[in-house]
Amino acid sequence: MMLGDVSDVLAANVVLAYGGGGGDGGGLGFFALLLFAAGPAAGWGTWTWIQRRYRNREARYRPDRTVAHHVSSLTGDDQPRGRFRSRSAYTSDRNDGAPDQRARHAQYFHGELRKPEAEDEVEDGVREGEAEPAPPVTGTAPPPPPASSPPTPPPPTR
Amino acid sequence: MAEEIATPSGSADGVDRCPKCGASDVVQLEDQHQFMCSFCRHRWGFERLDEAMGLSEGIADLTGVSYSTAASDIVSDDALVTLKCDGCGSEVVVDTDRTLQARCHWCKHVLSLNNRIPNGAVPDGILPFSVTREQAMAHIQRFAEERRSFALPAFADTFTPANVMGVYLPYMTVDGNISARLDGIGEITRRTTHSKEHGTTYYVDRYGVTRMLDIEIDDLIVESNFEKANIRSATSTNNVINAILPFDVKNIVRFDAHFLGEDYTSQRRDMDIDEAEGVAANHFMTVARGASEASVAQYRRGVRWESEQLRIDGVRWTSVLLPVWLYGFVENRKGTPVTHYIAVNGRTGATMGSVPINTRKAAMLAWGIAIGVSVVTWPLGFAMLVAS
Repeated sequence: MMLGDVSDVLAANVVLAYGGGGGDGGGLGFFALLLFAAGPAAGWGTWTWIQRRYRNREARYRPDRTVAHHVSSLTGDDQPRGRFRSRSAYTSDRNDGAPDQRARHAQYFHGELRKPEAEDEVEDGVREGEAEPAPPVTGTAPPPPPASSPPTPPPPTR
Repeated sequence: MAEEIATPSGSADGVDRCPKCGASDVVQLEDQHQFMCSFCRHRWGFERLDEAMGLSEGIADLTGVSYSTAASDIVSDDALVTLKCDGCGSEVVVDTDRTLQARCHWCKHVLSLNNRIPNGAVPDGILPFSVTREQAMAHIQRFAEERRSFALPAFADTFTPANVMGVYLPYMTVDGNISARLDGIGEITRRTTHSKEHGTTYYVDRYGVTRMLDIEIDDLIVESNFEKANIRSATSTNNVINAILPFDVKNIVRFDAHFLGEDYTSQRRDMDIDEAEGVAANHFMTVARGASEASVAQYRRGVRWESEQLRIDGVRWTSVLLPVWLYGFVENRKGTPVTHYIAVNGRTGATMGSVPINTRKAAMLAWGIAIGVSVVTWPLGFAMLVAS
């Protein structure tokens, strides 16, 4: 039986034991669940740590951090879609922190940039009403340099 | 529309000769950027390709596809090239899959290939090694020592840093004048409620987020050998070679086979621009996504980018050889050989590697920790369940 299976069985037992109870019993049940999960989690964490340290499967070239580039224009157009009620603390499937992971639709070409075709939205939360106007886009097109300023230096080299 | 940018001509193919006296006894000086004639002591070096060809200039004005002379399409797969020795007249064969030099068996002159040949083996530029073999061995030794506890016994027992090899691997440097459009969903939490029945509920405003960027990218590096470009290979840990990028490519000089000498081997480019363009575009998108990060910081719940489009307005390709110290170990995994590399960047010393794991030992430790922690925590958990 794998470590994950053991923790699943224990979690199920704890939930059953905790089942309909409320008040302080609920809190104790939750802590009991944490205690049952601590051992398997520690084992799984050790295994994962060894794999990462020895094999480095995720090691990659990170051009977003290391390649010299100059953004000559950055503009945005954000549109409110509505107010929603959600149980999640984060946007589902957020990927803004992983620039090297491609979006669902990624393409390159030598032609005009197009507005993507409308698609069914991911089912995510319950609509509650209208959203406030979109916040201003930060870091957009850089202002033109003053007339007396020296010419812009070339992008830094590594 | 593709346009060729002529690479400045380098040394002639054939016997290596001093440009001043014509003697063929040429040595590379320790700073790795100059050669010296052993006969007349004349020294000579090479101009940096970046300055000679203006490769850092005019990126914003790039249109279409430009490529340097040696980055043009490969028209022959024949790795063996025959040179006529101008010392004695005999024919000498160079195996361009491994090197670009060969010694004449008869007169002992060293013959070099310095200019473009149809099989893509000769690049426009080369970045000479500056990390010495001893330094590379020290890096590899340290890397392996730090990972000895759970290394496969066969790896630990046979580990010999002196077996490290200096290899010039083929890459393309790519300048890009690109436009990108990113579309996605961003959210901002406006209100949060908590209840025992439903837990935490978030009331969020959702926005369609679009970003349009114009970016000039200078010296992206792309593998140009099919085998090494496959960083998800099941039989070779190529990703660790990919991870030691980048190099200081501004210091690349015009290719000269002298740099290979007898100490280093080279690998042949076998990818054309059309075949490497997808990898470059993927990296361009990564740069565009990274450049947009600050502009979506107000969406604190995060952004789900759903569409990425990249228009390549102009791109400039240059074929180069870059220096890598490689240590390899072949693990036989259920009949399938898997090559584990430890790679050292021949310029910066950046080191990355893959060490085969003694899975039995690692599993025993993981199970031991799981059981050890559980022995303490489970009785407490049962006690809490009983109490509740």
